[in-house]
Amino acid sequence: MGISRIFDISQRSLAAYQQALDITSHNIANASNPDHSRQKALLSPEKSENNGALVFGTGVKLELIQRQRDSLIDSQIRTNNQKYSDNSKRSDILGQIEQLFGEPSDLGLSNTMTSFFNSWSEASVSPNSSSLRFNVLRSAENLSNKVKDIYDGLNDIKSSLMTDAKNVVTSINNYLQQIQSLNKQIFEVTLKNQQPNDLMDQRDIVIDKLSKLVNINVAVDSSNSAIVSVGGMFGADKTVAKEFQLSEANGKLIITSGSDGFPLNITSGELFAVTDIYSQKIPSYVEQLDSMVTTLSDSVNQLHASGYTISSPVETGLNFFESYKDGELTINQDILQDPNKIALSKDGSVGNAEIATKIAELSNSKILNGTTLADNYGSLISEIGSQKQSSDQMAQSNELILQQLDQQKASVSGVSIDEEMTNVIKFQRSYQASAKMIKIADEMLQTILNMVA
Amino acid sequence: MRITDSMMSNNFINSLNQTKSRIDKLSVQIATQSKIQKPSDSPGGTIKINRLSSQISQSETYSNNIQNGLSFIDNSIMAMERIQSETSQNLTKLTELENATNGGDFTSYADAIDLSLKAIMDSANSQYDGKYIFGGTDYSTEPFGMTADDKAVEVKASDISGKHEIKIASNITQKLNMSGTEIFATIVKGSGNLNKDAAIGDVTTKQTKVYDALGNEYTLDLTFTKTAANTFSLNYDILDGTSTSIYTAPPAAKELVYDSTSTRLKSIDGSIAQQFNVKVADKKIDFMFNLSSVSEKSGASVLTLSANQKTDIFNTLLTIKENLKLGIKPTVEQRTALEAFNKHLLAKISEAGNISNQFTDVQDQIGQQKMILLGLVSKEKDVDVAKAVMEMQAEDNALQMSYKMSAMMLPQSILNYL
Repeated sequence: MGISRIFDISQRSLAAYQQALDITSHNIANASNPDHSRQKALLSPEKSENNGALVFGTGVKLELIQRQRDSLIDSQIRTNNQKYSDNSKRSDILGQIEQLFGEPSDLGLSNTMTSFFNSWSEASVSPNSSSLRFNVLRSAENLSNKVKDIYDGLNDIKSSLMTDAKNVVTSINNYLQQIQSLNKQIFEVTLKNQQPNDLMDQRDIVIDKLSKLVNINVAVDSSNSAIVSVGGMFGADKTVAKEFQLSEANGKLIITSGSDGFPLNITSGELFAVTDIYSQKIPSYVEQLDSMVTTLSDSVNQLHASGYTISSPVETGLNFFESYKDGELTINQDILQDPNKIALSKDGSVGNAEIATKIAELSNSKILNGTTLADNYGSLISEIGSQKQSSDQMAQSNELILQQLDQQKASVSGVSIDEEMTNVIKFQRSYQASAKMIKIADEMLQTILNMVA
Repeated sequence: MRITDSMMSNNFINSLNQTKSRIDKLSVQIATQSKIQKPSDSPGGTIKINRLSSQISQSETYSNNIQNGLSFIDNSIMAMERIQSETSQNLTKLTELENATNGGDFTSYADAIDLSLKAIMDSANSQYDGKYIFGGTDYSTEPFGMTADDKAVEVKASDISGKHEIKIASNITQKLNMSGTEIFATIVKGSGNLNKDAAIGDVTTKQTKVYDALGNEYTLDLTFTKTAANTFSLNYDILDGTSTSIYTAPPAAKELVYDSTSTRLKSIDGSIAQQFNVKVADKKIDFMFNLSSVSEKSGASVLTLSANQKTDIFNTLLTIKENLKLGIKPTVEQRTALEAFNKHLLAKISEAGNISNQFTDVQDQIGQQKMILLGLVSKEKDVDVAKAVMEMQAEDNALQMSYKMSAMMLPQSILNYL
């Protein structure tokens, strides 16, 4: 045993505590970086030396720079990211859709439809009145414009959803490439028996972003490579990143694997909200709107065609609406040019307004699936409102869970300035003590040298 | 549990966001005075508001309809009252004429009755809002006028029997007009029944007297032939004093279809009208033939026919006037006809009054109903402003407390003490 051992032990100690302080300063520097995972210096004693019956310690070493992360919390965050993004995006889109209908207000379709039927009722009181006949035409035009507005609005939203879906698929492909690239770098660092902590942080950020877009599964192999599957299909590992493509078939959006063309099973994430509303919800709303307007148009036409105009010559068999197609409810051009061609009379006399009364009564008649037009429209509005409300509530709930999970993650991976500063003091003191040991060893050696002199 | 700096700041931010979100919602509610801005705020509430608003809008339309209808029916009543007043005065004149002391001076009475006839005609042709009050549903032609030879009054319009109905409530349709037919026309009314079990081809005949505008007598000859189940063909002819048809070609047969369940007449020539007009202009014959009381029952056909008057009020007065000019006193039959018309008119004024009353009653009901509906909309939609302001105040306090706490806590760390 020589005094030089004290130098050796103290020197190793100085190095170990300097490295620990490095790690601490890295943590402090990233204290406000939400994506940084706290790193911990794991110190352990150096291998001991046997000297006869005695075993001497040989100091301290930095065993490992440990990345503080809870994989279970990460997995839960990704699952909830998918749900939250789905519901949040769904809520945004449904919010745009419900605005189109403008309910409940005087500008909504409900009020426009009521005004249309009321105008017939008013015309029935003075069937020879030009102003009341014009009023019927104006209210019909308002109805036609409102239907067109809603229809066009739904189509505009569909177009923007298509663009959204394209952008999301492009982002998914980019993220998969980034994951593959980071996987490769992590593998190479791991091969050198080093800890690729910051690279893993970067990869987790990308995976988290990906989890907001689409349903994914993540598995990590022994070489720290993340194997990511998207919609039940392989997406990326350390060697390959797949590319997915968006296509439309029969009015539905489909995401397929570029190489084999198999469709992905999208069940959550922003992409699910976009594709589901594009492929299912909006077509269903349009179908209900079409069904309602077609029934209204057919019912009015059926009665109108059985009535007589007060034009000269008197005409019968005229349809009030020319057609309804692609949201365009077209009023008979002949009637638009001559309101006397509105057939209010059942027997051809000017004062008879039986047809007008019957058309006005359509508003309370159960002419569509055993319910009134207003009730059918109410169901549609209720459906949209309920879906939006449900998405809002689900998004809020997911957000709360995510906040709790983020807190848990921050508890494990976040940096505490107090803790780090305490570590600084601790490592600094240890460093100072080790330096002191060197000084003491030096003084011991000096004492011996002085004895020799 | 480790508490990191980001946990604390996240907690504060999340709390602040939640409070601000609630403040935003409350401030929108206070600004718009409405709890429901969009369907997702309350899907059920939105449907309810739409339904109630639609009902309110319909109520307003019904109220407008009633208002317009009231003006029309009130004008009809005024016109009928003018006619009734003239008829009463004519009856007084007829009473005076029975007085022997007035025997020598019939010309002034003839002139007075002529003026009265013109006044009645004027009222019968009166208009409101571009519509002939007694023109049925024909607004284009003045209902009554003199014949070309100026010897009788005739119906100028093609049909003055039209019924104008309007909706005054969701389940009430009300007749708005008193047609010229029901006020002035001669109506030959059939009653009884036709044999439901009669064999195809079975024939039932009936005759009754009808009169032209000048009071000349004719025979209305009717033949009902069973043509199919619940269906009869009605042939009719009008014969003069020599039993000769006044038609050059017989009128087309009418098809009568009966409802097998109710036994009531369902249609005449496909129309649901229960009567048809028989008019022979050159003979000055014009009456309605009403079959509403002729049903179809098992058992032998039994039919009776009766007319409300021989000639209408105009031609009765015209005849009285012409006779007075010739020094002929009005007959008892003519006086009876005038009295009958007067009575009939009073009944019709009463009927119109009832319609007017019904309009007023329904309008009152609609007004009350609207108030209730508005109350329901308000309950569903309106914000309790006091409550909302208090909640907003509480949220504001919470927000300020959060700011204060975050300002106190977040800057603190061990660094302050090193």
